[in-house]
Amino acid sequence: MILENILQPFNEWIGPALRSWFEIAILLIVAATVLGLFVAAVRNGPIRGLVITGRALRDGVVDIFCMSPRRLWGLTWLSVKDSIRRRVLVVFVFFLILLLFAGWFLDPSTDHPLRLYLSFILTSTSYLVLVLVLFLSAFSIPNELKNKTLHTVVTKPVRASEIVLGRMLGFALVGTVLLVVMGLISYVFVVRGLVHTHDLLPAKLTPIASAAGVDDKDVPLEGKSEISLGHLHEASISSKGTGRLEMTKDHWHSVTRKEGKEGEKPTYEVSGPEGLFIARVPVYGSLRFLDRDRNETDKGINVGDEWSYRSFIDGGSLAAAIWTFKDVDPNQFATELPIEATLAVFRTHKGNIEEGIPGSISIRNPKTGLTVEARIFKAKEFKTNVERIPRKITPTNVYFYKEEATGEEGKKRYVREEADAETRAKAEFDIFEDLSDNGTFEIWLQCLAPGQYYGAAQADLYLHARDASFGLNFIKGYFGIWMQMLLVIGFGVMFSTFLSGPIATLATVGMLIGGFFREYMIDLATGKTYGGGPVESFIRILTQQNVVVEMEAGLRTTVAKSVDAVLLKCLYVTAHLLPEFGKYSAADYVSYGFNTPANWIAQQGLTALGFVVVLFIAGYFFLKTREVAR
Amino acid sequence: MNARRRSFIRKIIYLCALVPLLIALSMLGRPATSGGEGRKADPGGKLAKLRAAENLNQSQWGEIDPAGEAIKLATFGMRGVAANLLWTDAIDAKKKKDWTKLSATLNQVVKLQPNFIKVWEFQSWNLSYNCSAEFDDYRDRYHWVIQGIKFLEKGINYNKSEPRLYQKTGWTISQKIGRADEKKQFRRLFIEDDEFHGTDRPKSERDNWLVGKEWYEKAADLIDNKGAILEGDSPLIFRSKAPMCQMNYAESMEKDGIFGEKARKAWSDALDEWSDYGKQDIPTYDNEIIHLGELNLLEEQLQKLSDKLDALAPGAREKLEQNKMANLSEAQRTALETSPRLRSPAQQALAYEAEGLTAISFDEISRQATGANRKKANELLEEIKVIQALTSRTQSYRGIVNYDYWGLRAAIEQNDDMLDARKLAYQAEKAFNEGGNLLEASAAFKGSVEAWAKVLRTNVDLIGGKVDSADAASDQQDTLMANNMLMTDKATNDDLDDLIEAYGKVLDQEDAMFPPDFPLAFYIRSRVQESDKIHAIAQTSEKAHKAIEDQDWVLAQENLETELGQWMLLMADIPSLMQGSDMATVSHILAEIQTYADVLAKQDKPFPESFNLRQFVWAQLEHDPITQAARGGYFAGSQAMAQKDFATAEKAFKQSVDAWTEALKKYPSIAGDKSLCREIIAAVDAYRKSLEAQNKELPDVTPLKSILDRWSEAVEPQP
Repeated sequence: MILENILQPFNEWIGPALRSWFEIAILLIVAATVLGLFVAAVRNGPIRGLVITGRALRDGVVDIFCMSPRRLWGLTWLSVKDSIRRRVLVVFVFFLILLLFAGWFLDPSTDHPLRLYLSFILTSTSYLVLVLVLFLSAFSIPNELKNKTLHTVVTKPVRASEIVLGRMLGFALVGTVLLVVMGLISYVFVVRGLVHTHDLLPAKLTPIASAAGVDDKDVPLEGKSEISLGHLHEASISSKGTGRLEMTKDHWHSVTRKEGKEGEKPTYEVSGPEGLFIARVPVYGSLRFLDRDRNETDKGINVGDEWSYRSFIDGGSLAAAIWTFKDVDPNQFATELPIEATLAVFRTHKGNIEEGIPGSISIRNPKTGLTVEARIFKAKEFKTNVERIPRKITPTNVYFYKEEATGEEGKKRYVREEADAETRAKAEFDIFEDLSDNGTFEIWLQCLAPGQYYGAAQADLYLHARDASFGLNFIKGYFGIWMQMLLVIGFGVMFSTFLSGPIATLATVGMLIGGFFREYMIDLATGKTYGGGPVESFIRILTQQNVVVEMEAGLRTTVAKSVDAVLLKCLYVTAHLLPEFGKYSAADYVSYGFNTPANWIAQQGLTALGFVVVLFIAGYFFLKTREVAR
Repeated sequence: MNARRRSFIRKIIYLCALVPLLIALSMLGRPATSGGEGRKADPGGKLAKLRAAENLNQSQWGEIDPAGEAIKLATFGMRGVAANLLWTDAIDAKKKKDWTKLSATLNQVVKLQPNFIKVWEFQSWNLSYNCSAEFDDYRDRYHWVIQGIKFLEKGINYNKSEPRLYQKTGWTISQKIGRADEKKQFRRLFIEDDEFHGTDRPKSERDNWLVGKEWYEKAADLIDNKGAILEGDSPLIFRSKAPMCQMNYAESMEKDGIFGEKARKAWSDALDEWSDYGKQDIPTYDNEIIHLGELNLLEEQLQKLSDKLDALAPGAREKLEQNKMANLSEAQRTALETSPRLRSPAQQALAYEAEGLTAISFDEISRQATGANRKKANELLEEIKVIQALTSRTQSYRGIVNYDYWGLRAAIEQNDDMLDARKLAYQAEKAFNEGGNLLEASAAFKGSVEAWAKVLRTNVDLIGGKVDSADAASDQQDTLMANNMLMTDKATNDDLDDLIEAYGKVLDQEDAMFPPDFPLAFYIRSRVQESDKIHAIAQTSEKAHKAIEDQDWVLAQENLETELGQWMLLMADIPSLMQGSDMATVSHILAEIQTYADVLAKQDKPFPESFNLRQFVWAQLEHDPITQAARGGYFAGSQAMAQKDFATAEKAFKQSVDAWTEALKKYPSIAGDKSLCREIIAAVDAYRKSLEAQNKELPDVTPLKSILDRWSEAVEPQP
């Protein structure tokens, strides 16, 4: 799975996150107060303005902190009823139609069928739900103002904060129910669409080796299964009659032989797909590299890929990719260390086409430098190489990799020393006793073929700790959509408190699009993309000037650049105020078969909550400014 | 009341206005319906008819996909924008090596624009060539090649009458699978691929070249019988693809080790198909129709007309010829008279010039006709010009597809000797590479080389009358040309060079040289003659010999050194020379070394320790019977000395010393070789000792004296 940004540990994340949240919140409050004060002062004179602003602030605090749960629930329920009245259920019909026709789009014979199914299901669900709550939230208050139904509400003793929060909670409730039902249906859809079995005909199996004196029945067999869902598997059956249909399209099947009646041939029973619906729990390490001269670097070699996600190490040298795993719990890996690696392979010469490029995995104790070569393997590119290293390793090679002084500060070089006789004589090394320093150890990946290269990124190699429940992971995928929905509701309701329905919709959509392009906006604002700001780009379009060509020096350029500097600063601030919608999607985790980390859920959940709280307070004050709510 | 009435009248007016509009709409847009029981077929309204006439009905193009139509509608007319966005997504997916996403995105793009042929062509190439190359495992690569082919097959479903897609499918199946670096593996996987072929297609029909050929034939069928238009390829190239697939099939079959009748049949089919190709109408760039196989017919026609013309102006040709020859310069005439293979580059240019100057055009002859014949000659001239134009066009078109070579090759490959040559070469390689069985490999190589030599030397029978009658090479001239063509063809050269190199490796392991009567020596010689370095060598040699004549020894030495260096470069191209694959060339080189030694002697210079062809001389020397005799004598002498049999020892050592003397004459470079000189000194030393033991004196060993003087101090006497 591709992880361009590695998730920070929660305890490292929470402090700075909270601090910046408070900073922005205080900044917004101060800005809003100053603006309010200014408006009030202009309208009513400075002293009265001050009084009004003070009162509004006081009222606000009271309104927000003294809400009545009973009234809040009443208003929430009102929104639910309102939604049902506005025929939200129609969206179900859409959803069902979509699923009915999905068979046409989804080709189960693709290489990773689950990935295709899940990304389709999650994307379509999120689009449907987001559009639905967008219209619900953006049109609700304006409609009620228009129909004057809100007036009957405000005649009751309710607070404006309760009206706003009631809307938000109500729509969230409706959306949640929708998501739960859709989630259930999609789960059944995905599982039903991909669960299958194959026929395995005894006639198509041939013996691997027919040893003399062995009854036909007891000879191991190999062959191919029949085609199902557009693919077939290689089959291998042991002499005991059990076996499996080998890994294809991310899954395998187990096979058991059923003896036939007298005189009849045996039949084979094939299980459903295994290894397909999984949620791996990985333990990631931090990655650094060693170049061919054994100098430590952050990045390896670039072999000319446009996308520099993976960096490469050269084979047949001491170059290595080193993952450091910190504080690994030995109890998680009581008997073995399952290492899973997805590597890129780059050949500078053809070599032996039929054979993969060999590499080695070694484990090093960062304290003593003791390094044990645990496994030699052949890399399979774009596939997961699974190496199960037993807890007690019988090594092929033992060395000491020790740090060497380079004379330059911050630069490290390693030197390989042969192990002493005593160490070499040792038959076994325990990963957690000999090769780790209180649960911290390094995994060294080296390519053994001269002239060939291995490429890796940090998330490419991990320890497969255990498998979590796929169903639960699927729910987490939906939780991602739920958070996006919450944000849309927040923006929709907030905008609808002072804008008309269509405008509030547009504004929310704007936020949504802006949120999806947040990274790009920041790149634009910080000058990481070519072509400059809006004014400069406009001039370039008019003069048909290439984006990489420097602008001609002169007054025009100076003016354009200064105006752009201000505009880009605004863009920068705006971009940082937008929620990064794409980040709330857990679709990748679920579809690549990785457990969505609790840490991710906590971080994204808190961020979403942070936004919603601000949006709620803003919505409340905006509503307060409207006559009807006073 | 009035208002209601007015509104009623307005509605009536609207209705009346609607009726003609609806009628017009129906006339324009009524859909076509097919006839059925008791119903007449309706050709539909104007638009439907136009669509049918212009072949714009999607149903005429291929399958209509409801999902695709639904997506198209869902884009609300923004289909192009959506397709563009998806296209950039596809590029991004490829950049990030997310192959599942790439496939899925491509499927969405084609759902939006299923009749955009370039998209199918481009993206299938992207999958088969670019994506497949990203993978390390050849099985994955194969998988992506097939993905590209399947993508094209899907495109064909939507565009059933688009020959470009059929062609592209044929190309990918034949060329990508059959020509990639991994062709051996790809071809094997393709034959075993039940998923692709379906289990009912037998393995013998799954060869990629045959399957590819089927697709080319389907494309041709669309063009010939279904009115489709050929785009992207010229008819000349397009029509050659199917028969070329058959040729490649036959060739690959032999590479896979299938010979005998099966291979002969494959080649005979290839020849038949090639001949059929020669009969096809090929439009030229200026819209003439030519037939590649009719060149001989045209030439005969041209000859007849030329004879007729000559008859109208008797004696004119001879006269013109004489005049033109007389006008040539001396150098031009000499160049023209020299055999083309022996011309130097300067002579080649001169001969080319002279050929131009002495060529006699039909115009010139017709102008010589007089009286009533003049008019007839002019009429004949017109006719000749038409045939001449057709002939030259046919010739140049044949050149583009290498028509002559392939016709000849398909004919020759059916020959028993040729089949033997291929089979033995295959067996030899197998014996050597797999079993390491030197004896078997060596025997098989020998057989193969002999068979090849026979094929190259055989004259008229070679063609066996199997070439299309119009092509039949029936006289010596043609066959010589044909053989020449075979000898100078790159593919044949590669085959032969590989064969000789492999044979050389086996001989090397056996510590043997090519036999002196190596059957392919004449081929090696022709390779030497054809080499791009031979003229430079000849020139340097000429300069050296000139300098010798002038007794300018320094210049002679310099040029000879250059020449030996040039020979060494040539030997890098033809390494088998090192092992004596052509004794004539080897002797020539040795003679040049002799000359070099003489030139050094003239200047009283010793032969240098290192010189360019040291390795080459060493190889010749080590396998020369003289050297063996010299060493044998020394060994026998040493044994006799040990037994104090001095008379026998003396005889043996004398034999050794004499042999060394002879060797030194033949290979003067020995004088510069320290290790050989050590052997010689030891032999002389032993000889002297055997004589001393009998109280005799060492006789005169003058030829070896220079060595003794030069090396005695440097070389420690052997114990």
